[in-house]
This record gives sequence, structure tokens and C-alpha cells, in this order.
Amino acid sequence: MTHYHYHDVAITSEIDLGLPQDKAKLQARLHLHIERRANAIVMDGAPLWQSTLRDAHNNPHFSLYTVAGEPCLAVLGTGQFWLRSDRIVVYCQVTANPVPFLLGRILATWLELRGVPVLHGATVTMQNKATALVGESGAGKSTLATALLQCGYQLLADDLLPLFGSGMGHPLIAPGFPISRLWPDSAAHLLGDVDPLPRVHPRYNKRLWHNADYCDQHPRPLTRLVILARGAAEEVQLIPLTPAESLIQLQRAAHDPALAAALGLEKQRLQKLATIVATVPVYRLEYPNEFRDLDAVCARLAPAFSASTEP
Amino acid sequence: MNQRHTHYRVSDHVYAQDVLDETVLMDTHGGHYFELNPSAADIFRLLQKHGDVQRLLAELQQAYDAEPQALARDVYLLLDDLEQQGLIIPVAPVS
Repeated sequence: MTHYHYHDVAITSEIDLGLPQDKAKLQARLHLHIERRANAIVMDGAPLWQSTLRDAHNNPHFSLYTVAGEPCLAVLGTGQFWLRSDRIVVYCQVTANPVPFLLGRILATWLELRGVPVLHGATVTMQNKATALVGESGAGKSTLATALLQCGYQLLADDLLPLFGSGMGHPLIAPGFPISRLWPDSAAHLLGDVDPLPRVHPRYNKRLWHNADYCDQHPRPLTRLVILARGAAEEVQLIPLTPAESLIQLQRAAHDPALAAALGLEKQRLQKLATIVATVPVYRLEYPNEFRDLDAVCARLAPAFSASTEP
Repeated sequence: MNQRHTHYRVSDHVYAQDVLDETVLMDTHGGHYFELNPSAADIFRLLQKHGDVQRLLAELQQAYDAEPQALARDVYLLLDDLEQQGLIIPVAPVS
């Protein structure tokens, strides 16, 4: 059994998650046990939901079932993840690696079931303040975050953005793991040589960049959310959104909207995000879809990051 | 002139969420979102409260310094729009 501390969740796991071990057993908001199961889980009836992402034979990559009244996600070619209140039970096919799913979509769904809204985004910090870069897949979150690291910012979390309430208005963003997930062209532009970077998963071409030297390891208050709209403008523009616009945009940027709908979590998520946009300013960042413009994007964001008017 | 509906209710597949002085409507059937500005949000809240357009108008008249006919016209424009989008549905008055 190994202990981990990830996004303010204390995890005990029978599966090696490839994260640094939490030997100090730090305090955490939530506790999760990951249990490995030798046999396939028998699921109740027909799937409640199937992803639109399919393989060449039209099999869905993700299917949602219930087992004893609790959700269970079947991942094509990998296994099954039964999401119970205090644990995730994993059945893994012999040669498959469940970890990328466990630390991504599965953990996000488990957190949402515990009432924690999760956005899809990267969080960077400067002067102890966190700014989240959110957007749909392919919006350029990790690319921009990596570019910002090279301008003196630190990475707090990549991919998952759980929004734990702090009781003081601004949610606290807890550290993830010091890695970024970059498409090969972004990695080549920002880091040079792509070949040494491992793939996120054999099926995906994204690469992992271990960036411990650029990481912030302390929870930080979220002081700004930036929704990325790459390719939406020829000039870099940072546009403040009204609270209603902010809520709609964040709802769209939240983790797995279709799965959340299938689980009946939409209303809860809307309520939680409404409290967040009431305290955290949200902006839409429009910028050209060219690597050569990243410096201008970073420069546009930089003064506001350090603005003393934001808490 | 068409007969106006006198009572409405919010459709079952719609969630309304206030956010500061605005409101977001989420249509869970189509996955669409609708944004109501502060005055439209006031009208929607009163519609949820009363269901009765005349009571809505009476309470709104107290809050807004507007000519009654213009106020009623604006309210019906919004109600027509919400109804066309399937966000509210006309109902029979409660006897």
C-alpha cells in the first residue's frame, strides 16, 4: 500500500500511481483508497452513457454503468473503475495501464461525486496567487502554461483543476504533480527536443514533461480564471466577462460535461461554479494560433498577474 | 391580437441559477445555456414566484419606474422568447 497526496486528496493505493510518495502522510481535504480487483466487475444492465469517442469498430472509449447503485466507468482496452464513496475499485486488463485514467477522468469524476467541481485546465502562480487557464481540449492550456513558466511563473497543477471551497471566498488550488502534457509541436517549440519525452499513454501522442524545477508546491488562492480562445483573434485581447457569461463558459470548460449530465451532477456543478464566479474574476483570452505570438500573450497576461488590486 | 397566456411555469428540464444580479438558465435537454441580464432576471424570478403574469407585472411596477404599457410590452416580449425556447410553458390558472 502506498500513500500519495495529490490535489489535496490523501490517496492510499494498491496500484503504483507513479507519483512521489507521501511519507509524511499530510492532512488532506479528502481521503481515497484505490483498490485493485483481480476479476472483472459485473455491471448492472445497459450503459447509462457512452462517449462519442469511438475506436475503428465504433466501440465507445468510455461507458458508464452502475454497480450496486454506484457508478462504474468501463474504459475500452483498459478496465473498469467502480466509483464508491470512499474508494475506487479498479479491474485492469493484463497489459493495460490504468494510471493515466485514474489520475485524470476517473479522479475528476470521483471528486465531482464528492461535490468538488473540477475544471479542465492548468494553474500557474506568481506572488502566491493562482491563475487558472481553462478551456476545451486543444485550447492551448498546457502550451501557454509552459510558456509562462519560462517567463518566471510556477506551475501548480496541470490537466485537473479541482475547486475546493476555502470558506473565505476564493477557492484554494492545491498542487498536482510536476508534469505538463504537451502536444509534440508545442513541446518542440517550447522545449526543443521531443524524443526524450515519454508519451502520456500509448494511444495518445501527447508528451509528458517533468518540470519539478518550475513547480509551486503550496495551495494558493485562485485569484483569476482565464478562458482560452486560441485562434479567435489576430490581436491578443483579455476581455472581462460578466458573471453570467463566466458561469456559462466555466460550465462548458468543466470536466466531462456529458458524463456529468449522465451522473446528474449538472445542477450541483452550476451552483458551485456560481459561487466561484461571484468572487473570482473571469476573463476570455483571445489570441492568434501561432507559436510566435506566445510571447505577446505572456506579456499581456503578466501585468495583471501581479496587479495589487487583485487579492 | 392573439390571446395572451396568463400563467406560466418553468420547464422541468430547465435549471435556473442566480449569479450576482444575473441569471443563467440551463436547458438540460439541449445542453444550451441562456443568460438573463439583471432586469430579465428580475422578471424570471417573479415568474417563478407567482406564475401569474398580472401579479408579476404588479410587483415589477413597484420596483421599476416605467410606464405600465411599456413595462408590460417588455415583459411579454421576454415571456414569448422564453416560451419559444421551451424554457417556460403556459399553464392553466390555479383555481
